[in-house]
Amino acid sequence: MNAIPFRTRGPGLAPPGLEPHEAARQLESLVRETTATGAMRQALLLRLSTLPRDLAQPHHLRLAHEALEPLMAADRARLFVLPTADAVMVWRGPAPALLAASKERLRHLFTDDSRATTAPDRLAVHLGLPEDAATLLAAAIAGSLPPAAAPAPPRDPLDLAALAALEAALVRADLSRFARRRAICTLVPGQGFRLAWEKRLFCLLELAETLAPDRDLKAEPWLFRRLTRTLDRRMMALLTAPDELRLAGPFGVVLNVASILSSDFLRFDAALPARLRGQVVIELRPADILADTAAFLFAREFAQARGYRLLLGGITADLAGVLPPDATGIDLLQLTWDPVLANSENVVRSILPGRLVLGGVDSAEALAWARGQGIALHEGRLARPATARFAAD
Amino acid sequence: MMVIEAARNAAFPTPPASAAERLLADALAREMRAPQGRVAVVALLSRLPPPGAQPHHRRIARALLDDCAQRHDGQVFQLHSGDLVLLARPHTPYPVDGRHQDRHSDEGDPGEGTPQALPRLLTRLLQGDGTAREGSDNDMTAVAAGFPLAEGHDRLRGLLHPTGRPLRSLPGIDDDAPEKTPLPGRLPAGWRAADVAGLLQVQVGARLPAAGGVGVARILPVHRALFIAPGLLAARLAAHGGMPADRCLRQHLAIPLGHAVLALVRAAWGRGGPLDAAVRAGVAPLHLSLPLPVILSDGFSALAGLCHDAGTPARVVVDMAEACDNPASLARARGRVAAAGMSLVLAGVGHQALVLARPEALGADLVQVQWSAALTRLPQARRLEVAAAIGRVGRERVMLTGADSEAALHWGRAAGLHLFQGRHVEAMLAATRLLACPQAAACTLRQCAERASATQVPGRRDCDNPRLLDQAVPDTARAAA
Repeated sequence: MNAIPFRTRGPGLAPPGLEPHEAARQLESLVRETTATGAMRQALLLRLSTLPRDLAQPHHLRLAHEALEPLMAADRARLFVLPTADAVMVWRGPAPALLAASKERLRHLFTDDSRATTAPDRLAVHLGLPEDAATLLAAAIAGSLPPAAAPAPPRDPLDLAALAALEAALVRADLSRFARRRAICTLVPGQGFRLAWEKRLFCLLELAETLAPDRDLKAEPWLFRRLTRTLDRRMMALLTAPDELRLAGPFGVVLNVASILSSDFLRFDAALPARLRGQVVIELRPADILADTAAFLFAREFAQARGYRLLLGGITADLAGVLPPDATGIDLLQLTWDPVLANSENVVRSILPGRLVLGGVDSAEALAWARGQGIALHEGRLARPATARFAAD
Repeated sequence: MMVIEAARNAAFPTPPASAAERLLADALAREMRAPQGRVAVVALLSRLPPPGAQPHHRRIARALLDDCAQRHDGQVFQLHSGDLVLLARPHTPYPVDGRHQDRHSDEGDPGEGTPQALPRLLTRLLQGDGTAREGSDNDMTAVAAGFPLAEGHDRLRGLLHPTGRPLRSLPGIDDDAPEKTPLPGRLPAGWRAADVAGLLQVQVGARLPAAGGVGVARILPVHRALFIAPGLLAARLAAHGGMPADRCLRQHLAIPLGHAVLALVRAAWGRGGPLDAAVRAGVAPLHLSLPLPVILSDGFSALAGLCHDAGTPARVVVDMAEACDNPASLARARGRVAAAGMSLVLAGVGHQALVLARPEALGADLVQVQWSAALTRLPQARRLEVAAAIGRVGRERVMLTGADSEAALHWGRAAGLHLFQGRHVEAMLAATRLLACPQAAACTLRQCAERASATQVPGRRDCDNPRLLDQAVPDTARAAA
C-alpha cells in the first residue's frame, strides 16, 4: 500500500504536494462555501493530533492516512492533511461501503492500545456539511494558527513607584497605537460566524513593553486594577475622539464600576450617536461589582437606563453559579473556556444560552461544547467572522 | 425685570440666599406671572440615607437633568442642600403621518430621559438597595419627584434657603475621580511583624439563642477573631503621610500586612504572652483574616503546622470580592486550608452582595454577613430576598459581623441568626465578666472590653484577672449558656 499523505487522485482532488497550511486554508474555504450555498457534503475527520506521542510517529500517521484510501473513490473526494496532523476527507453523496471500509482499516490501526484516545469512535468522526460546519471549521482554523509565542522572560512586579510613573506617562502618551479590536461573533447556522460586536481594548503587552519594559503589569493584581482605572479613562477619551464613534459599529469596552460613574463616562455617553444606543456592551469584572455593591447597583441602573448592555466577564466554571445573571441583573455573562467544562454537568444549566458568551474559543473542543450548550456568542481565535459585516446588518 | 423682581418678592418675602436659588425664584415668578405649562423634576439628594449623597450620585443626577434640560428647553438649579431642580417643558409626542411619534426617538433619547419619566429613573438610581424613600412622582418626601410647576410652586418654595442662614459649601462633583487620589511613592517603611504588633486586635464572636431574652447569662463565646484594626492602621498610615482612600491600594497593602501577622503569631507561639494566649489559650477556634497570596505562602504552611501540632482549631477568613477575583487561587487556598485541618470563612458579604451573589456556592464553611442599618429600612420585597439568601446559605452558617449595636442583634435574631461578632457583643461579654470578677470594682465596661481586645502587654496591664479576660466569660456563664 502506498503512502498518500498529500497525494491527489482523480478529478477534483487536492493539488499534489499541498502544503499543510494551504490545505487548512482550502478546507476552511470549502466549508464556508458549502455553508453559504447549502451544498451537502460528508466528511471524515481523523483526530490524529489527539494521539499519544508514542502513537503519533510518522509511520503511525502514514498508516492512518492510508486507511482513508477507500474513500478516495467517492464522488469529489478531497483529502486535507492539516498542520496539526489531523486529516479530513471530504466527499459528495452517500458512500456507505467506502466509509465502512475506511473505518474498518482504522479499527485495526491501534487494536493493541487500550487508551481512550485511540478508540475508533474518538479517533474518526463522521460529519455532515453544512450542519457540522463549526467542527470542521475549528479543525481547519486550529491548523492555520501560528505557533504560540515563547514565554516572556520574568520581569519585576509593579510597585507603587513604578505605578505612579506609569500613570504619569499614560496621561501624556498617545495610546491609540495600542488600541485593538477583538471580534465577538455569533455562529449563524448555515452561514458561519458573523460579527456581533468588537471589543475595544489596549494591547497590554505592547503597552508594557513601551512604557514599562522592565515590569510585569499583572504580577500585583490590586495595583494592576488601579492601573485599569487609568486605562479606562484613556479608552473612553479615545472613543470620544472625532470620527471614532461616527464610524463605529456595535462595540464593547471593559470598564470598572467607578469608571461608569466618572465624568469621563458622561462625556463619552454624551458623544455616543443615537444609532449606537443599545449597541454598546460594557464588560465588568466580578471582584469589581462585589467590592462596592452600592456603586455597582447605581452604575447598573444608570448604564442600562442609557441603553448600554452589561456583560460580566472573567467567569469560570467555579464562578458560574456564584454570580447568576438573574441575581446580578446583568444582561450577559462571559464564560471562559476550560476543558473542565466538558466534563462538568450543568455548569450553565440555570443560565439562558442566549445570555452567554464563550471566551477562549481557540479549539474545536471549545467550539463543539458551545454548540452543544446552545451558546451562540463566541470570542477566541476560532471565532473569526467571514466578513466585516455585523450580524445585525 | 422690575416686574419679575416684584413677582419674586411677592412669592418669596424672604429672598433665597444663593445665586442659583435666586434664579430659580425668578423662574418660578415668571411661571406664575405667565404660565407656560412647565414641569419640575426634583432630585432630593439631601434625603438619601446615610452615608448620604456621594459625588457620583450628584454627578449622574446632574448629567441626567442637564440632558433632559437640553432636550426640553429647560434649566437646572442646584440648591444649597445639594438638591437639584429642573424646570422644563413637558415631553409631548407629535403627530407624523397621522401617528404619534416620539419626537426624540431619533435623537438618542433612551426613553427615560423625558421630564415625565425622569423622576422614576432617578428614584430607581438613588434608591440603590431600596432603602431610600420611594414614592409617587409628585411625592416630595421621596428621593425624586416630578410635577407641573403650576401645582407645585409651594413645594419648591420649601426647598429654598432663606437669606441670613449660613450656606455650607458642597464638594465638587469630580472629587472622587481617580486622579484626585495620587499614589504615594512607596508603602510606609517597616511593615515587619514587630511593627504590626500594635495594630492587632482580637474580637470574640458569640452565639446567642435565637429566641428569648438577650441576657448576658445566655451568651456563649464561640471564636476569637484576630485582625488588624482599621482605625489603628489609619492612624499609623497618617504618621507616614497617609494612604489614599483607594480600595486597590488598601488591598495591595493587606498582603504585606498579612505576611507580617503570620510572622507575628508564629513568633509569639508558645511564649505565654497576650497574643499567645489569644491564639492558643483563648476562645477557640481562632479566626485569621488573610489575603489569598498569604494563604498560599510558606508562612501559612508554617503556622498551619504549629496549629496542627498543638491541636489548635483555626479558621481562615477570606474576602468574597478577592475570592471571586481569582477563583483558581481560591481553589488552591481552599485546598491548603482543608489540608491543614482548618475551615474557610467568607467575609465582605454585605446585604446587597447576599442578594446579588450566591456566596454559598464558593464552598465556605461559614459566611460573615456585614451588618448595616439599611437592613432595617429595606422594602418588603428586598427583605424577603435577604431572608431567602440567608436560608440558602443556612442560618447556622451565617454570622452577623459589625454587630456594634443592639439594633443589629435584634435584626439578626429576628432573622433567625445565632452567631454574632461586633462591639455590642464585646460589651455584653465584658458585662458578664464584670458581674463575675472579684477584681472588677474599679473597672468600667469600656475598659474591660478594650483590654479584652488588646494583644499586647500595655493594653491589658491594668487588668488583675487576665485569665478571665482570655476566657471571655466566666465558667459559670459558659455552663449556663
